[in-house]
Amino acid sequence: MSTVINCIAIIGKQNNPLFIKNFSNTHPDLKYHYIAHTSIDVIEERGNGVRSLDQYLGLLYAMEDLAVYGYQSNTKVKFVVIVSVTDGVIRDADMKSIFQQIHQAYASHVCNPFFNQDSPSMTLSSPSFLKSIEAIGTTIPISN
Amino acid sequence: MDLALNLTSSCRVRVLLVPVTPIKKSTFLRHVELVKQFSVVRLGDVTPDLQKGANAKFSSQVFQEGQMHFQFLTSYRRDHAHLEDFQPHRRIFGVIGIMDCQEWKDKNLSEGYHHFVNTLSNYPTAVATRCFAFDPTENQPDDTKGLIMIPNVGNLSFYMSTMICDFASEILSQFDNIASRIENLPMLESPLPRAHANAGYFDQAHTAPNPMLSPQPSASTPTGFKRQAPAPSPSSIKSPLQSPMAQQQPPSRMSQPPTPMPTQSTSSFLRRASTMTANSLSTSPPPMSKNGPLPPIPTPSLSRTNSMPLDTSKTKRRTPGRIKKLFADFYLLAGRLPDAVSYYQMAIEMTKSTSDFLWLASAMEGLACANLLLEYLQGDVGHIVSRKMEANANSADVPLSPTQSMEDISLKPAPSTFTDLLDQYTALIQYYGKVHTSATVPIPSLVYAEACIKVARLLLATWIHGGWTDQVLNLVVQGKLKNEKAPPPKPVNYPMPRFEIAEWVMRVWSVSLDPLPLLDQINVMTQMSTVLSTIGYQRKAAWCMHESIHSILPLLIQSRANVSNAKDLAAGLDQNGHGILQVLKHICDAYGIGEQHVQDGGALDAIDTPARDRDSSPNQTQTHHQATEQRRMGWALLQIDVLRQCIAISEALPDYGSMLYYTTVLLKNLYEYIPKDEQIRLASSIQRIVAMGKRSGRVESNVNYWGVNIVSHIEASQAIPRKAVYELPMLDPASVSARANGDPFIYNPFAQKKNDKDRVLLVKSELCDFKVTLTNPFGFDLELQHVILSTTGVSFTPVATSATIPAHGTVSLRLTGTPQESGQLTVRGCIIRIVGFAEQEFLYDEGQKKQQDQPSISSRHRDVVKYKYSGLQAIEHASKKQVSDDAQTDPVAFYNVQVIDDQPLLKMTTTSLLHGAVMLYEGEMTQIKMVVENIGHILVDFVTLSFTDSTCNEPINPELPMEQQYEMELFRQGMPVFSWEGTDQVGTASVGKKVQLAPGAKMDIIVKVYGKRGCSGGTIQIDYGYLDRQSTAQSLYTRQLYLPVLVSVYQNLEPLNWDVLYLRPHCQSSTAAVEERTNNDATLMASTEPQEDKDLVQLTQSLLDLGVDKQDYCLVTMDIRNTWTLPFDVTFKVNDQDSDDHLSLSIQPGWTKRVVLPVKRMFLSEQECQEPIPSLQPNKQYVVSQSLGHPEQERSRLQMFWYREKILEKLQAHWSCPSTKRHGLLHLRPSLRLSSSQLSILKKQDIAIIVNLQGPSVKSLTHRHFQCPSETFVSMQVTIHNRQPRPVKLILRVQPVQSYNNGAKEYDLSSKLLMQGLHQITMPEATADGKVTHVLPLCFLSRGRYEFLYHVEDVHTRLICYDHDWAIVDCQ
Repeated sequence: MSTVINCIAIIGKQNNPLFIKNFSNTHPDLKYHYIAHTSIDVIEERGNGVRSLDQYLGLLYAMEDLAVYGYQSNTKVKFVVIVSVTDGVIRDADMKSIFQQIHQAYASHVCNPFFNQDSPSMTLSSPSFLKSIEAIGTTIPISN
Repeated sequence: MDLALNLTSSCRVRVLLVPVTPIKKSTFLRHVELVKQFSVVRLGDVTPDLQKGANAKFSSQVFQEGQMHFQFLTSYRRDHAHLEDFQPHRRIFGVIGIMDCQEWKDKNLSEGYHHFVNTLSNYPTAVATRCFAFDPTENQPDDTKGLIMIPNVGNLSFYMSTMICDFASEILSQFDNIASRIENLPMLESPLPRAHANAGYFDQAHTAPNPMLSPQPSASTPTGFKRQAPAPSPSSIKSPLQSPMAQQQPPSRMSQPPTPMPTQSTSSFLRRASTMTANSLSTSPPPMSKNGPLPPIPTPSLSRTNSMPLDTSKTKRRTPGRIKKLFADFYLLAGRLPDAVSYYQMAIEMTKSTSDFLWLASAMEGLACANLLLEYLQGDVGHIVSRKMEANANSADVPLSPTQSMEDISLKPAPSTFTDLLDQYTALIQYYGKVHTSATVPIPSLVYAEACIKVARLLLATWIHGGWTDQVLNLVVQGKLKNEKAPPPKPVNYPMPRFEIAEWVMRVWSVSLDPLPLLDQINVMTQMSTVLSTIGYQRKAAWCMHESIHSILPLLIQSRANVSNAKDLAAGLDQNGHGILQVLKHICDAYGIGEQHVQDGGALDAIDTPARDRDSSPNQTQTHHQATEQRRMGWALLQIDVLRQCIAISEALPDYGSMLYYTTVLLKNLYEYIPKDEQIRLASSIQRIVAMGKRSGRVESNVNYWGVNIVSHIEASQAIPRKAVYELPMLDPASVSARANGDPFIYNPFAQKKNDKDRVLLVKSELCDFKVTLTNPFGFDLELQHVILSTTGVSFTPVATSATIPAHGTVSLRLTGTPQESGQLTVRGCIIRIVGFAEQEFLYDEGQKKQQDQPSISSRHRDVVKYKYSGLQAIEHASKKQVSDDAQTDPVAFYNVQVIDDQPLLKMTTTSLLHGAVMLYEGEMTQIKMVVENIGHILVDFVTLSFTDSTCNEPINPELPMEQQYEMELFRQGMPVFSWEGTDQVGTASVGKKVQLAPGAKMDIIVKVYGKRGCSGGTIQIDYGYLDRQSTAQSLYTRQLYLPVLVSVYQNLEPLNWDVLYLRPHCQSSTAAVEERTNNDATLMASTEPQEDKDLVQLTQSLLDLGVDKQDYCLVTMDIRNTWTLPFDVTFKVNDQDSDDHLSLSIQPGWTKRVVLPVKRMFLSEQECQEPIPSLQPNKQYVVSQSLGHPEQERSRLQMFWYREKILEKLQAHWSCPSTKRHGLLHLRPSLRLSSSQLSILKKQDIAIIVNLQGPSVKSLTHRHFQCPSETFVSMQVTIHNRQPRPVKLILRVQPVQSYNNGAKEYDLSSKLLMQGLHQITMPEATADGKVTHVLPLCFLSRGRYEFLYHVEDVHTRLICYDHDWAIVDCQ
C-alpha cells in the first residue's frame, strides 16, 4: 500500500514562503498555503523545545483527510509535507528519508553563491531545484 | 444552538427562557440574569414528589447531596433534534415565560398567559412550563391560573429558589414518565447524522431507522402539554423528524391515535418547515421535504435490502444497552450521580459486548461527567460517604479515584482524576472512531467534535491555572475556562506542552465538518480558535477565524438580502457588524497585515475620525512615511486571500469605511502579487466605495487613497547656460588674507571640496524648472489630472501639468514655477490629483536617499544588545521598536533650493563675425565687435570678459628642459588669441569693468583677435551682473554669455635658415668667404644671389662710411619664404641703441628671399646671463632637474638662452599685404635657434685683444690691416680688454708669420723680422673691465705680408683666448 504526497512546502526562517508545490488536484493551492502557514505554530513550539536535536518533527497535525508532517533544519528552514490520510501508518523512517531528500535539494540550491537567502521576497524557482523536488517522488509506502 | 462544549454539559437540564411580549429587551435580560442565579439546585431542596414520594424513579430524596444543573437559554434551534434522543441533555426540558407586569397595566394578564401557552407549541420537547410575571403592581390580581407572580418585595431570592425547586420537581417527575416509555421501546436507533438526511441519494431505508426514536420525546411531550396547556393536535407535536417508517413500529404513544401515515408525515414535515422558516436563520431546507411526497414504504435500493434485516436485528440486540445508557443520562440530569454511575457501568458493559461503539463512547462520556461531578461534590459537600460506597461498589471495573479520596476529602483532588479523565476520553474518542466499523450509520460529527473540544477546554483550563487544582475543578463544573474576577497565575513551568492541547483541537478536523449545519460549523470553529489563541497558536487561531468568517459570509449576505427592505438597516447592522470587524482585525494581525504594518494612506483615519480636521496632514504624512520604511512581512498569497475575504465581509455588512480600508490595504501593500485586471478592479472599486460611502455619509470625501509614493525623485534642473547664475565669493580683505594664509598647496587632496557643481540657484520672479520622476508600481496606467510642486519657504507659484504614467513605468516630468521672493525654497514633493481621486501630496525625502547610499553604521551600532524574535513575536516587538524610534528618527529631509534676488539678463544681438568664424594670417590682429542688449528688468553694472582658445589646453611636460618649457608657455600665454581692453599684456588678470547698462540699452564690446599659429577656435565669455546692491551678501552672482568663435590661422610667411656671420673688414675675400659658408645650405636658391650681393655691398659701404669699428657688428641672415598666394612686404627693424635701421623687401608668392642684417654684437654681463629662466605660470610646479649637468654646461645654457632672448628683442619684423591692407607681426621666434658657434659670433669676447701698429709711416688700411715700410721701426701695441667681472692675469703670446701669395706660410722669421723682447710675456693684472697694454717694438727686414697671431692665456685657469682676427701688416 502506498499513499501520495499532496504537497511539499518550504518555509524560510522568517516564516516566509519559499516554495509550495501542489502535487494533487483535489485541493486548490491556497488551501496548502493555509495549511503550511498554520503548521508554523506547531513547528515553532516543537522545534524550539528540548528535543530539537532531531530535525524531524513527526506528524504535526491532521486535518480532515490530510496529515501534515514537519521537519526543521538547523537554520530554522521549515519543510512541510502534506499527505492524504489513509488507514495505514506511515513509518517515520520513510517520512524522514523524504525530508532528507528535500533538505538535500534545498541545501544544494542554497550553495549557489548567487542565491540571496535573506531577501524576504525570495522564492525557490530554479529549474534544477524543481527537478530535484520532482525526483523525490510522491508515493510513500505505508504499513497497516 | 449552543453546543455541548464542557465536560459537564451532559448533566445540564436545558430550560428555555422566553419573553412574553410586550416586554422591553433590557427588562427581559435583567430578569434572565436573575433567573440564571438559580442554575444549581440541591436535590435535597427540591420539592419531593408528593404522589410517588421516594419511590419515584428520579426522586430527589434518594440522593439529597446531589445537584441539578440548569442551563437557562434564551434562544433555541432545533438543529440538533436528531441527536436529542441519543443525548437527552440536548433537549429543552422546560420553558419559562417571562412577563413584565408593567407592560400589562391596563390589560388582563391572562391574555398574556394565553399568548405564552400558544407559543409553547414551538417547543414540543418541553416537559415542564412556567410563566413568571415580574414586577406586578398592587392592583393586578393574581388570579390567572398557571401564571406565577413574582413580587418585587420581600425575599426575592428565596421565593425564586422555591419556584425553581418546584419546577425541578416537576421536571424530575416527568423524567419518570419518559424513562418508563424508553423502557418499553423495543428498538432504539442511533441518531442519523444530518449529512445522511441531507444527502439526496440516501434511500428511505437508510433514513428510516432514525425516527424510530422519535416516539419517545414526542410521546412525552403531550403529557407536559396536557397538564398545563391546551394540547396541540397530536400530529403537530410529533417530532418533526418522524418519518413514515416510524409507523412500522408499534406506536408507543399513549394518547396518539394511529393516523393515516401520509397525512401525518406531511403535516409533521410542514410543521417542521414552518418552524424552520420562523427561525429564519436556517440555511438548509428541511432535510426530509424531498422525501416527504414519497410513498410511505419506498422500494429500497438493492444493497440496502440485504442489509436492512441484519441492521434491524442488530439494533434490537443492542437496544437494552442503549436503554441503560439513556437511563444513566437521565439520572445524570437528575443529579443522582451514584445511580448514573451504576447505569453507565451497565451500559458500558452491554454496549461493549454488542460492539455498539457509538453508545459505548457516549456512555463513557457520561460516566466521566458523573465521576467529575462526584468528585466535585466530595470537595464541595464532603459528607456523602454512605452513598458513595454504594455507588462505587457498582463501578468496580472502572478505575475510579473517588473511592480512595474518601478519607482525604479536604485534600486537593488527586491529579489521577485528571489523567483518568484524559485516558477515558482518549479511549472513547477511539471508540467514536470505530463507529463506522460496526454500524451502518456513521458517527455524528458534531458529537465527535464536541468531545474533542471538551477535552481541549479541560486541558486549557488546567494549563491556564498551571495544574489540576480545586479551582480548576470548580471552573470545569461551572463550564468556565477561567475565573473572570481573579486573574489566574501565569502558567509557569507546567509540564504539559501546548501542542497536546492543540492536538485535541486538531482532532476535530479528523472528521469532516462540512455536513454540519452552518451555525455549528461556526461555533466549532470559534471554539477552536478560542482555545488555540489562548495557547498562543496565533496562526491556527487565525485560520479558524478565517474559516468561520468564511462560513458566516453567506449568512451575512442572506440576512442583508432579508433586511434590505428595512429602513433602519444601518443602525442595526452597525452593532452586529462591529464584532465581525473586530474579528477581521485579529485575523489581519495574525497574518502580518495588522494596522501598524500596512500603509493605508490614511483610510483608517478616515474610518476612525471621519470629521477630523485635515490640518494635521503633515503629521499624518510623517507617520505614513515611516510606515513605508518598514519591511513588508508575511505570506503574500495568504494575505491577499484574507484581505479579499475582509473586503467581501465588509461589503456584505455593508461597512464602507472598512471596505475602503481593506481595499486600499490590499491594493497598496500587495499590488506586486495581484494580477493586473484585479488591480484595475480594486482601483475602480475604491472609487465606487467612496461614492457609496459619501452617499451614506460615512466616508469623508477628501481622503487620500494612494499610499504608495509615486514620486521617486525631484531635482531642480540647471537653467540654460544663457540664464544660469553663477555664484562668486565676494572679495573682501578678510577673506583674501584668510585664503593667503590658509593653504600653501596648489592642489591639496585633503582639502574639503565644495560640491558646487550640482547646486542650482533659482532667480526670483523667473520661471524655473524641476525635473520630477514619477513611478507607477501598479499594473495599470495612472492618469494624473494635474501635478504641481508642493513647496514651503518662500512663496512659489507652481504651474500645473498633467501626465499619464504607464503601468509599471516611470515618467520624467518637467514641472515649472516661479518663486516670488528670494530666500530658501523647500520642495516637499508633489501635489498630484489622480483622475477620480482626491488630491494628495506625495513627499520626496532626500535624506532617505542619502541613507540608502551610505548605510549608517552608527545607527546599526546604537543598540548594543539586540534580540532576534521569530514569528509573530517579531511583529509585537517591531511595533514597540517603532514607537521608541519615533522620537529619534530624523525629520524628513526635503529638497532645498536657494532663491536669489533678481538678476539682469543680457542678450547678444549682433556680432561682426560672419558665420561665427574669423580668418587670420599668422601674426595678424583684427577686432570683433559684439553688441549686447539688456533684456532683463534691472541694471547691469558690471561686465567682464574672459576667453579660452584651443591653444590653451595642451599641458606642458615638466620633464622638458626649462628653455622649451618657456617656449611653450610663451606660445600659450604670451600672446593670447583674444584680448579685451588691455588684457593682451602678459600677466594681467581679467578685470571687470563698471558700466551702466539700463534695461533695454545696448553696448558694444570690442575684442581683439590675434592670429596665433595652430589656433582653431575659442570662446568669448561675458560675465555680467548687478553688484551694486545694498545687501551684505557673502557672494555675488553673475550670468554669462558665450560667443564661440571659429578661428582659422594661415601661415603666410615662413622664416628659414637663420645664421649669424662675422662682418669682416677684408672686403673681397671676406665676401667670398661668406658665400662659401652660405653655399653649404642646400635650400639657398641661386636667384637670391644678386640682391644679396647688392645688400652686402651696400651694407659694407655704409659701415665703412660710418667709420665705426667694424668689429662691433655681425651679420644676421635669414631666408623668408612666401607660402601664400599673395605678395607680402616684410619690414625688418633692428633696435640698436644708436641706429634705427630697417629693411624692407617684397616677396612674391612662392619666393624665398634672403635678408641680411647688420646687428651690433652684444655683450651681456655675467649677472644677466646667470638669471634663471623665467616662467609665465605663477603656480608652476617646480621639478628639480634629474641630471644636474656640469656648472659650466649650465652656465652656457643660460648664456645661450639669454643671448637668444636679446637678439629676439632686437630683431622685429612686420609684414603687410598691399593688396588686402592686412598687416601683422612676423614671428621670428620659432625659426630662430642659436648654436654655440653662432653665439660666439654674436657675443663680444670676454677678453678682447686690440692690436694697433704705430710708427711714422704706418698706414691703417682696414681693421687690423696695416701697411708700413720695411726696415723702419714700428711698435705694435697690444691692448687686452678684460670684460670679465674679475681681474685677470694673462700671458700674451704673439707669433708672427710671413704669408706668401700662394698660401704658404713661413714661420721662421729670424732673418725677416726683428722683434724686441720675448714672444711670450706675462702681462700685468688686468682689473675688471680694465685694459692692459703691451708695446712690442718691431722692425720688418724684408717686404711681404706678415700676419701676427696672438692669444692670451689666463695664468690661473689656463684658459686660452684667441682672437679670430689676426693683424696683417703689409710691408713694402
